[in-house]
Amino acid sequence: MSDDANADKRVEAGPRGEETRQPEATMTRRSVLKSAAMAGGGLALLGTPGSAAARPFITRAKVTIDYWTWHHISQVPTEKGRDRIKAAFEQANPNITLNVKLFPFPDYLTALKTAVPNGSSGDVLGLQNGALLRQYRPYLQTLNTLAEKGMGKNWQKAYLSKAISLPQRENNWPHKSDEYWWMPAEVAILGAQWYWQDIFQKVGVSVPKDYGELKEISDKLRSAGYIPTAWGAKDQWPNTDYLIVYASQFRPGVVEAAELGERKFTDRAIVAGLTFMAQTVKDNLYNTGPFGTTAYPEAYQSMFAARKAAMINTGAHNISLAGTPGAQENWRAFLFPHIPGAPQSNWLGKLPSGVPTPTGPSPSRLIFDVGYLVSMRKGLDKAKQDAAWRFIQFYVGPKGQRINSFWTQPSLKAVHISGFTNKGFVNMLNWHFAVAEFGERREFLFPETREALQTAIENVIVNNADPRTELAKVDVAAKKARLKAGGKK
Amino acid sequence: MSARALTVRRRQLGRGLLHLVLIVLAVFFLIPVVVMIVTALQAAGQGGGGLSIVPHSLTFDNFRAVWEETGLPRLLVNSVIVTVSSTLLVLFFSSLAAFGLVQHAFVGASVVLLVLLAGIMLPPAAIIVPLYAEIHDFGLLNNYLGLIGPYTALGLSVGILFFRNAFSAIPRDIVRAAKVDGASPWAIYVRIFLPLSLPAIATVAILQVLFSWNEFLIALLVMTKENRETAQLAYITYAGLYSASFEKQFAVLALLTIPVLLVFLVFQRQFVRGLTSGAIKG
Repeated sequence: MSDDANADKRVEAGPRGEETRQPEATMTRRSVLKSAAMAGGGLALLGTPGSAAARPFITRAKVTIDYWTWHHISQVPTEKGRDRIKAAFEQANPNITLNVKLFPFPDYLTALKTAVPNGSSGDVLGLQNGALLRQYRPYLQTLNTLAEKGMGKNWQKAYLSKAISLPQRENNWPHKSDEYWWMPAEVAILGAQWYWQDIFQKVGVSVPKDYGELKEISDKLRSAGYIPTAWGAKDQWPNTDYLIVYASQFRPGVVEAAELGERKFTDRAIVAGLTFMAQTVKDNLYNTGPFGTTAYPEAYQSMFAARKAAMINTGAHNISLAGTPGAQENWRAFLFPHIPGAPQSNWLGKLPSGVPTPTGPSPSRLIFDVGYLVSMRKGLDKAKQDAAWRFIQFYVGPKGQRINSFWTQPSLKAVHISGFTNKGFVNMLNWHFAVAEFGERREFLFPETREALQTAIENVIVNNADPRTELAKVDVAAKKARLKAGGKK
Repeated sequence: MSARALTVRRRQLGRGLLHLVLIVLAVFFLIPVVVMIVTALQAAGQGGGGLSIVPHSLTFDNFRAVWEETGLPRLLVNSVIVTVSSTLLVLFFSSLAAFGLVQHAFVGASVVLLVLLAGIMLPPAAIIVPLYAEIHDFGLLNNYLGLIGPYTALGLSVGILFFRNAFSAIPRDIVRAAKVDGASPWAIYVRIFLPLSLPAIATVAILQVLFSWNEFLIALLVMTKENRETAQLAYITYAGLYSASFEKQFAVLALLTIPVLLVFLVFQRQFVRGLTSGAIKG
């Protein structure tokens, strides 16, 4: 990423050159030549080909850009007037005023629906990967040229590979395209089994090497008065996460492939994953009545954070809970251990399957999503476009992501979650990022598929329905959704 | 006990029960207000930083903070401009429309009335997309007229309904007498209809003030510049993604309740009369 501050300093040099002249000074031949040389130099600099990062910023007049979002995490309610992103950006870009317009999420959807087609939305828009981003594609600026000029030809390499490949594949489906009309601002990594280290020690259990051991330690934890694993199935979204985690042991990427029509939801791997999921309930791994328990606040806060549950399936997206007393010292993680009947594979290479204690070989994969992306509205004039790009580049670049890394997971390889002091906890968080490179896709392309799959999971677990029959219904819903989106099958 | 005494006893019992039900209902409706005030008065972080019905502390710091941090004075001025303008316009246009409907019988008057009243059934959210496009096309984004216009339009139906009922109750003889004396339709409207319909005016004004003052969605979409926002948008400042300052949110809401409460207290008597007159004559 270019050095914004230096670029601005270079810009300031141009107009200020005139201001530094002494009006009273006598106009000598030497001063005329000096001025001409400076002017020529300035023009040459403006015309120099190469990266725009090395070129002076052409916007001299004060420009105001509007950034619309529901997710402006750097605006902390208790710190009004200290919006760190706004302050840092405006300090680095004194010619630009950033006007952040914050919406409640449901109203944000209405705001986009009304303002984007009319060309009166914010200049920079925060969007979610998937349906929301796809929906507004015709109104969003292609950023390839700006990104290459501002961040270099291979700018993508600075990001976690999936932060680029996943939205590119999903948002262009059923076509393929090299166009970027979004930039990845943050990611979400989930699917690890987090546990209280001190509870494990107190009860005398250790990280399980396979599912048999997980069952054993769950029984011991329950006997000691703890819920083995907290699960808030009522909210539905954790359920598809679980299924993807389990099915990944049988065939990596199978749920994504099924949604895209490359495989079936009745694929053996998904059927096996769902059957196993039902088995875990019968094996009493969770709190009583998981389908009557919400993820937030019940499973996460009232059970796991409150130390009533010893484990929860979660990930580095949950750092907002890490303020819980003792969390940093005691929260550690391992991948869901090997499931009986699943093939053995060393997909981790030299990476450990848990931190600080690995689980056994061939565990589940993590799941990955690009949680938040930023885009630019089409049709901006040159000055606004430059300013809007400067903000996007700042926001998704190291400076912006470092500020946001206090609350979210950065999409850049070089930036890590900040704000934690415990080395073990920081190592555990960073381990998620390394393992996430092999992660499964989390978010579904079509809400219809996700809802059908959630229904299937509930029917199998709560009503003892047949997994294959239920998953066949998901295939029907997924096919319908694909056809609606322009897919062929 | 005589039959008369029994009837009196029964009546007293019935009245007592009614009062009991009303008290329970009043408490039920007052709980959110109490929660709002108590939470707004508590220091940040007290009571777990959440909602509270029991005061843990007493401070006006939140009110002071939100007053400065949100630029509330500016937002209040915006709200007052929009509310007062739309209320005056609604009073004027809806009373005129009702006057026309009552005074000048014409073929299809009932259909016209029906169409006008259909507006009552339209929630702003249902028409927001075309409404926004219209405001945008007229170039009224971030302009007071962008809110005054829609608020007036959305308030007309209720206004016409109340004024029509109030005007229908005015004896025809008075109008006839005025006509004989040579009064013009405008004079009849100004000197007879309006003075005799004060409860309706108060009712429509209060309802319109309430609507315009509290409206959130249209204001959120139309007023995107900070200096144009209305006061209702101020609470968003304290709603973070991962955290929220309930104390300050409720301090904003408590402050915003005061002007509406004052308007209601001033026009309370006329408001009740206006509502009951509407109910009987309806």
